[in-house]
Amino acid sequence: MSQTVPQGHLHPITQTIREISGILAELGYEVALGPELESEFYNFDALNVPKDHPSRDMQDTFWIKADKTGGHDKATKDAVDSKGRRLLTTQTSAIQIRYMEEKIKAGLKPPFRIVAPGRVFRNEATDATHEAQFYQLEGLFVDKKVSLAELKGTLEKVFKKIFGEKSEIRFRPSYFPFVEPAVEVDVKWVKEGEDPRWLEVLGAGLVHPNVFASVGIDSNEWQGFAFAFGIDRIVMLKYGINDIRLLYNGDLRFVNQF
Amino acid sequence: MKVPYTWLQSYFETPLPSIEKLADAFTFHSFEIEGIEGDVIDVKILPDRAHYCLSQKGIALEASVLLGIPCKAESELRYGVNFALSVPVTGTRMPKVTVIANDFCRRFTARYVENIATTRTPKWATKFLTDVGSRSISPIVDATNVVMFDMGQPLHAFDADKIEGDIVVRKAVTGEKITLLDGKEYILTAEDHVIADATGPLDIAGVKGGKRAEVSATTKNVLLTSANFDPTFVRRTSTRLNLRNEASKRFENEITPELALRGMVALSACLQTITPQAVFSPIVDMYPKPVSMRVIDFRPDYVGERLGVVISEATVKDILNRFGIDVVVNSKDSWQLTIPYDRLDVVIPEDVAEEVGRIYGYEHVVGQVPPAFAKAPALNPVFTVVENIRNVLVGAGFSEVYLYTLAAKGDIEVAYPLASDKSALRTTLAPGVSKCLEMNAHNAELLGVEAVTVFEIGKTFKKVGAGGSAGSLGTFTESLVLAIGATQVKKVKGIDGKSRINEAVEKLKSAFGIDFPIKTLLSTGPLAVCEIELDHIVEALVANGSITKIAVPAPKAMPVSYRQFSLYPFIVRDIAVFVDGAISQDEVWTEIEKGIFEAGADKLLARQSLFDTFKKDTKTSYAFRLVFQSMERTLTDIEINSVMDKINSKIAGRGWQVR
Repeated sequence: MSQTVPQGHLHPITQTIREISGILAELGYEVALGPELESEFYNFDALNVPKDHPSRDMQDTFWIKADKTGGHDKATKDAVDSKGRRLLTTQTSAIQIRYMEEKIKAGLKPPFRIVAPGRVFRNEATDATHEAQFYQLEGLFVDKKVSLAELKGTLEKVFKKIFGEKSEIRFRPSYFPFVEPAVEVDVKWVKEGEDPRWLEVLGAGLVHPNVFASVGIDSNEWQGFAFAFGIDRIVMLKYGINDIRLLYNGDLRFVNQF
Repeated sequence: MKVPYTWLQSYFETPLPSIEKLADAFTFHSFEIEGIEGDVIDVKILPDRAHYCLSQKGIALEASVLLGIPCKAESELRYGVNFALSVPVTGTRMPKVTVIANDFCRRFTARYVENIATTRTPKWATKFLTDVGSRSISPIVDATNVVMFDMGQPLHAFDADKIEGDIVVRKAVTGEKITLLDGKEYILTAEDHVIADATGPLDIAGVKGGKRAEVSATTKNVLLTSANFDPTFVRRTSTRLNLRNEASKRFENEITPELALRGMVALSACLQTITPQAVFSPIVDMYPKPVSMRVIDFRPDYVGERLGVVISEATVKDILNRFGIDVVVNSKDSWQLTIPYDRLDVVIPEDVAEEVGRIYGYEHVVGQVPPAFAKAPALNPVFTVVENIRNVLVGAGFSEVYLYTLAAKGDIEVAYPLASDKSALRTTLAPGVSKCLEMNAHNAELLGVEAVTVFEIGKTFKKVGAGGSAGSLGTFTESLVLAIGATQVKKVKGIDGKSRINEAVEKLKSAFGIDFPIKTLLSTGPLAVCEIELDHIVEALVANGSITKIAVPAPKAMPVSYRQFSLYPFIVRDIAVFVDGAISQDEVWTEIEKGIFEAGADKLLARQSLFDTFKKDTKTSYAFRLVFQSMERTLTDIEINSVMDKINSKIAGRGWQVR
């Protein structure tokens, strides 16, 4: 028997985020991260999801209970007020806003290419395919002229690495307030000895001018595309995992298989 | 939203393609299909298309555009009704309406209909209402609902004889009460709006009708209303009162005020066919600020530029015209588009590009990878540090776990938690990791480990005093924390959870060349968990300029074929075999395997390991540990004993000795 310590195991979510961000790094995408405890401005308003609009209903949000203790200093309180209520981030898209806002404030103009992985939350009953927490990986590409063809080319490159050279992708019309046009992306997974399957894997589109406006970028000068992978879903599809909760219960009978 | 195929067909002379083909066309050019049940298609209408597609008419328009077949003229009969025909006006009773809340009520139309006879809802209408997921209530109410589901305009009929005095559309008075059709009493605020008479509120405008002037089986005279309300106010009221219904949904998503009069006309036409002797009075139409059609300056090449394809101007123009968008060509680069009233979603050129693009078809988009940047992307310090920590720890034999952010207790609570034990944001990772160690320790034999060693990298959340600190959001802080945990299962002298953790921390220190101060260390018996705050470590590494230099090799990638694991208990048996020195461990194992196979237990062997070897004189002892587990049931000792008997007899057959 070997005397060396056997290697431990990287969680499959880590592995998948590494794989995708690695492919995108080759194309010049820089990693950006954001908080899990977010404010309404970054998570919704700046993403063209205004208050009192039905698009807010598309995501069940964990709002943070109002702080009853009071008495915190005025400066902090004002800062909170100006960015709205607090919540658990529902989408990594919020990181797009934080990143662009920071760059613009620092006087740095596009082009931008970022990949933003993160844990997100939805206030939904949990079952084998739904968890209140899961991982997304956001991509944002901003340049002078950007089209759906470049979005498609980029995603094809990613999926050929994850699901094999024979995989294909297709777009279907959809709606995400922060992109226009918005598309749902399906990937055709061609597996040895199995019938090819079309799988719904991510949402994407061309950055909405209102998003650029919210961070002070002139949309006459700059264009962009954005996409968001559901990492858990990709992990589950790839390995045939039938219960999302296995990803978060810390059971090494699961983790140690990866 | 449910779309009955036959109802949709009533909009067309030309036969529609099969329901499956239609669903496919919608899927790839319009919106997601949630399902097909019998001859009803369930389409998912998201807020962008809700302005016009929360109606059968809107869906018919979509079908017409993507199939390239025209809808029937509006004046043509559908189900024996000409929904666009103004009924003859023979009555003279004029409703007296005052609209006070003009910013809320953009248009208000009303008319009296008298001499309504008791009648029945026609079968086609009952079927339609059932098909769209509603139900038949009474002929008059059914008529309002048929028109709402068909064209998207909510309508309401009041029993005219129960109304006192004039009608006023106004803000509610704080504390004002109304009993609605559901029989419940609601208390209003000044944010809400009502349609009231001299006595008080008759209806929460845009949301739901009141009980007082409810239409009943004996209703003789009605007041029909068809209005347009501000979406934001309706949404606030329906949210606050938790009253979301088919009417409020349509108002919240915003519909054009142009629809109000069309709705009134259609409802009147529908009522006339149901109760032909009814007497219709003139329509009062209060529409102080008529909307005009939106005009967009458009450059036809823009569609192709956004899609990254080449589309001819003729194709773009044809698709726009199919949508009813009028095109005036000023020059090659300047088209003036006039957008139909109900297309509130088409505002900017990007919207036009989507409309044309999806009909033209995204399948024409050919992928093209943008050229890579000349220089490598900047390293994200946090990501870099975290990834390298992972590499160090996995290399040191630790496995990574992801646990839950929501916990039973914490400084920061969420509103409406899913469960009481998931009501707050975790302030620490240690308790979760500790529980995780205990759980996995039970499975140590199955995992084939002497110790359970794990780590988690995650966020913790705390409330801090006034002023906050770096990275704080308001008075709350979010920190990135590493928790390392270990529990020793097999007793080994000098090794326990704490020593394993210390070893791991030493490895981190030497890999990063910086201290990893342990913030909390929890240690009970063989189990230990420590927490290390990573934010300061990242800051320190950035400050000393070593971020770019850290490159711990990633663990060796293993081929993964995930197998579902059994949730049943396992049974462990050890067997030590004394053999002549010339016999190899493989030979002994082969014999054990044969025994297992003969016992029919090969599928039950979850893990095996050689855990001890020793030599005495010319003989060697090989000790194997066998772990048995079934995917389907709990194994019994008796059953495994008989497997061991088979193994023993195999061993004995070779003349070997079981110790």
